[in-house]
Amino acid sequence: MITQGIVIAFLGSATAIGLACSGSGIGVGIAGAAGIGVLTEEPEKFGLVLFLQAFPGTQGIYGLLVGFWVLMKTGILGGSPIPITLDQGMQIFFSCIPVGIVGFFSGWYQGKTAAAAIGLAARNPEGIGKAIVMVTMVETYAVFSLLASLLLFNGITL
Amino acid sequence: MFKYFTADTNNQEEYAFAVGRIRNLEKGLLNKDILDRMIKSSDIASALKILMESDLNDYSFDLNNPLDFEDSLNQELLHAYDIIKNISKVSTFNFLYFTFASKYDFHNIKILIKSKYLEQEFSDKLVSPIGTIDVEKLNLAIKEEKYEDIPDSFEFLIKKTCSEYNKLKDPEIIDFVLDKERYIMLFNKIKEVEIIEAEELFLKRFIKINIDLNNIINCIRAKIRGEKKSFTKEFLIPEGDFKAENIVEIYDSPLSSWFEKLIYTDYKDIIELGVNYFQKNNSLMELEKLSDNFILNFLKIGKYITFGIEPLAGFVTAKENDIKNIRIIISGKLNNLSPDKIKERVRDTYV
Repeated sequence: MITQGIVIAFLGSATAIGLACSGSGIGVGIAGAAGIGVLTEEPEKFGLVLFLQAFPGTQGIYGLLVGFWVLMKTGILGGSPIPITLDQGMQIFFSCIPVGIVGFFSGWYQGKTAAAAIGLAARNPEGIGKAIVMVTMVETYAVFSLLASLLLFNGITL
Repeated sequence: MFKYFTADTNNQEEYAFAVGRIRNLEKGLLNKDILDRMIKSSDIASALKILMESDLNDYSFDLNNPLDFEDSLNQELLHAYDIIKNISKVSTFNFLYFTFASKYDFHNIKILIKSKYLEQEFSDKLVSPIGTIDVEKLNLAIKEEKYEDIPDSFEFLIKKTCSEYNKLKDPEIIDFVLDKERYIMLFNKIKEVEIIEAEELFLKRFIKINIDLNNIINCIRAKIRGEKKSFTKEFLIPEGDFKAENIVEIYDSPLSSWFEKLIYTDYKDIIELGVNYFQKNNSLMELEKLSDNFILNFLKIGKYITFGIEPLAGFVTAKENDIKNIRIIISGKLNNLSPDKIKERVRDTYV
């Protein structure tokens, strides 16, 4: 039976996946544009450029993970949703917010950092290790938001 | 909010692509070590050979005829300008390209107008293919007054320059008028470009530095030649940070004391060192070198920016600077100058 709670849970899942994947899309796009710029002059750097471009893609994976978990736990994925109250639905929705919002902005900004790292890789490939550390720093907060979403969701009694 | 957001992300991708490409090309710029090796090399051919060792740039010289080095330098510069021209269709990039490439249009116009009035046929070697307008179209406009193929703004300035020349019949007027009109044109054009505030500030600052240095050097030259204050004032370029009135105020005081009156400006050292050198050696070489270095150092900010036009401006200036340094070294060797004398003339490097 589709309750108001299920609808709100649905919205939560969509928010987690939609926002986090959008952030990743923007980030990967920015890093990809920088990568194409480098590859125009030096196609042999494809491996390194692809590696750096992939970094902002992880936020989308985190969002997808939380979104799918919500869909599984609520039975939506199996086609037989469990009855969820409006309160429970709201709790699920709010548990999806961290990974959605943080995923969006961290994906975007990690893309910018990755683009800068790609610039460094083009000019001075020896310094790429340090640049990767900088790019990874942005990832930290995406991981925190994933953790927050999972812990919040885990605390909901269904 | 949404409009701002989409515009911002679109431009970021344009910038990321452009800067990614520029970062690669920066590897082909000359560093101090390469210039030192060129300066210390025994002859022109071995100096040019050092440039050809790297596969990071496209310098290619006929070492059997090293004196034909100019063609390759022009090709290298043309290649850099082609990259900037085609790297993005964003209006800011187009304006940046115009800012740099129009310098060559104005150079070509100067050559063509002078050849018209001095009744000398211009040599192809004197005009540059880099400008935004084809040289043949400019030639047609200047020689036969057929302005259909050139922009209205250029038609206006050609007519104005010709009429100013006809008043005084002094070829130097052509340079003064065109230098002034170029910066006025850039300031008018920047108002038409859709540009974010940070970039507008950077571009305006860049243009203003060029205006200030141009005004200072022209004033010092005019003072040395003994021109009247009123004559100099007329051809000072407006819009600079360093107001034309400030220069006019100090014009009658001795050249050696100018820097004291400009102690609070960014150009104090340039004037002090440049004038000192002039008084000892009767040459403005140091002043011109310090002025070039000032502009290059201002543009070095481009090395640290990923999303902006600064790296492009830095790259083009660095490429022009490299080519100028190569010319200085080669002409130094042609004139049998010692390595120390050549080194004294060489500009700073971008990388």
